[in-house]
Amino acid sequence: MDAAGLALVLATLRLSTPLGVAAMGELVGQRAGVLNIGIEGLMLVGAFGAFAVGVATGSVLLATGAAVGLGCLLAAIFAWFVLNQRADPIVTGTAVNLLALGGTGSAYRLLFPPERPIVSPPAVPDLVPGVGVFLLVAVLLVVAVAILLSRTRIGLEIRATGERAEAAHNEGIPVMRLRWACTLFGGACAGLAGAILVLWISQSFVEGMTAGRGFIALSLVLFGGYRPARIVAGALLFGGANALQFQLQAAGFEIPYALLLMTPYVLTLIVLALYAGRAHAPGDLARPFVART
Amino acid sequence: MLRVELRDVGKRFGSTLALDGADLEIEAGEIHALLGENGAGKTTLVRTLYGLVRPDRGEIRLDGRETRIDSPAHALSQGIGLVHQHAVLAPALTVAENLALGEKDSLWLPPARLAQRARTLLEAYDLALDPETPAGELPVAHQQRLGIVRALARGARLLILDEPTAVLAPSEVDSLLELLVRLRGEGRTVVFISHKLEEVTAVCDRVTVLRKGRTVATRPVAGLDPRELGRWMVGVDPPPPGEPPGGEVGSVALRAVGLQAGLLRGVDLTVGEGEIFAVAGIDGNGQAPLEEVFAGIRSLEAGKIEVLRSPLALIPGDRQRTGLVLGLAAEENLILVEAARGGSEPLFRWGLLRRSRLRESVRETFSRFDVQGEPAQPAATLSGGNQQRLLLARALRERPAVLVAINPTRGLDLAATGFIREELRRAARSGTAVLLVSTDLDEVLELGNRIAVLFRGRLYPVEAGRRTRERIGELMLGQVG
Ligand SMILES: Nc1ncnc2c1ncn2[C@@H]1O[C@H](COP(=O)(O)OP(=O)(O)OP(=O)(O)O)[C@@H](O)[C@H]1O
Ligand SMILES: [Mg+2]
Repeated sequence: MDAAGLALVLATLRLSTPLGVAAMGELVGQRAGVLNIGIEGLMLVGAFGAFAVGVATGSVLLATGAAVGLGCLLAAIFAWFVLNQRADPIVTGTAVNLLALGGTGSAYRLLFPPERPIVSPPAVPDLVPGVGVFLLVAVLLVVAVAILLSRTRIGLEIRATGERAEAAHNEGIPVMRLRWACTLFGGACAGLAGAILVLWISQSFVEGMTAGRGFIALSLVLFGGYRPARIVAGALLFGGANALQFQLQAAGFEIPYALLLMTPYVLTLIVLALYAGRAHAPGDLARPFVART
Repeated sequence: MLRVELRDVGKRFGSTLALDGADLEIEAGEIHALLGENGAGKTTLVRTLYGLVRPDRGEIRLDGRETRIDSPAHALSQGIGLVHQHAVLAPALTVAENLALGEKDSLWLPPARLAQRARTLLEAYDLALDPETPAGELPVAHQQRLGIVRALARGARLLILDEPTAVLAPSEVDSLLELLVRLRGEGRTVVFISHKLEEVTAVCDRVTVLRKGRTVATRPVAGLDPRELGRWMVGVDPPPPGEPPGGEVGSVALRAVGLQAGLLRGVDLTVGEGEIFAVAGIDGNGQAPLEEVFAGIRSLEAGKIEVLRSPLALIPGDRQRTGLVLGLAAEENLILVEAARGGSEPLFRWGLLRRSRLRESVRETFSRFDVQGEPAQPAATLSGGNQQRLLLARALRERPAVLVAINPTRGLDLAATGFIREELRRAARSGTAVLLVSTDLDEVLELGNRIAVLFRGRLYPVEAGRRTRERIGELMLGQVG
């Protein structure tokens, strides 16, 4: 493989990883019946947490931990409103996104005023040159989620809860606790995805830097038919298209760059929509659960 | 073994008083029948015991100790199991997965292991199902049996069965009753809800009758007169069995020729005006595709259906899945068909629904068909029998020329069953052509001018001179000769 080809592969892996990670978290949540469209915001707070703590401590581990923690925290707020107060998940998710955008923006300007010298967080160590440790983490995560959902009792309980919470509840499965756990897991994954953006991909923080990646992860879950392998394929497709687009831009082709920027999104949507078939969404997705009448 | 007492249980849902001081006392190791007309509160009472209903007042005692049961998990840990009136399964999960729900023994459950466990269970309880089928694709009767197997597999000390026999064929009923006796022999306690008095007298030790949310009586079953039971339940004597309508049969209103779809292997039938044509048979012999092709939700592989008179009305066999939109109000369900036909006067004007007219018309229908419940109540919260009445009311309300009725009295109490059968006869007498598909032998005999048996996708007419339970029973098992 020539150098350009290798660079393309590496860039594809790098750009796909945060999508795959965030999508795994969303997948587990949705399989339990929780639709969290606040995933964009969760990623963003993760990115900010990783940046701030990374700059302050210089530790990748602490930075990642902070990202995961913040993702969980924001997910907990979402869960409390949606699961305990039975608030509408779309409205709550939107609120989470807005809160994250405004919150991280203000905090960033407060902590890193323009007059301060430019700082950057530590970079994640490489597994092999050009491939950060995060890739390994992501691969393990995908495998773990796939096994969890299809081959374990907990996975069965999660799927039953998402399909028909009443049936799960009737068999003594703790619906509320499972939904809470899955939502927090989704928050952790989204936070981790944010950390990957900052510590591996961009080495900086910019307001609203997730740029719709959370929503792409969300649609990967849907169009990937709620199946981990297809979701990963979708993530790779998006990452690949994005990497290619960057290379074309760098090579200076005479194509308007806005058009190039758009291609990965459009391409991913088209391919996924064609190949997804009629995905079966969990039957009780986004429905509130009443334990006793 | 478990002894259970429920004392003075009260529960109100909005304006409905579902339980009004009900008592239930179950001795360890007995089969206890719980009887009562539709809406009497039977389901609500047992759901309270299973932690699904929060009672407004009253107490639960298990082996003499006062216990608060606030979730099924808690009930299960006390050894209480419940088989619901309408099976509660996760439709997209397979039979095997549904059977494994709630099992705590192992964390590692690969599909092969699930299927293996399911096969063992299904075999032990004599249920021929493919473990890989999504549960939602099973006919109601099989879903129900799946629910029973799941509860039995749990090994409950107290097993509550809420109208388990409503969807079963006679032979299946017999084997279920045998199973209950076996469970009692193993020292388990059983609560059995049913509208069929002969089932109660066959196996139960004691019976409690509920009426309008209150306990009327608890008695030993031995030496009890079924007529007396009926009187307790409704306060009047149960209606005597009726005869098929005797009027003139007019010209053909519904004709099917060589129907093939799914299990159906070439079904021919005609129904004349004023006639009830009854199709008997055990569920799973083609009833589902037969219903679906008449409902127009399944396409024919071969053959054709001619509807020569209109309108055609349908009483679907699965009230919860294809019959009602459970989240919509009862009154909205009632006029779905009219609305779908374009919304004409007087209920609609310029395509808009007139709410006041609707109320009026709905109240009239509710009282004519004795639907107990509020018109504005979501259909999901009506009692099982009242959901069924709603379906009937919807079908008969528009005076259909052709009526296709699938198990129209499933889950109805004695009085209501008698009433509905009389309504079907009345419809036939006024010229409606009725195609009745029923797994209930008595129903078929009481209603059918002509009877045929559906077996493995083919229709076998019952010869006019041999209209007996025995003959129909033979045909149901495929003994054609
Ligand atoms: N969740 C609910 N919300 C409102 N009303 C309810 C609810 N559940 C039950 N009811 C009402 O309580 C009454 C008793 O219902 P229940 O289901 O206990 O009757 P049932 O004896 O089981 O009747 P059936 O033989 O028809 O099944 C009915 O009038 C029903 O409409
Ligand atoms: Mg009931």
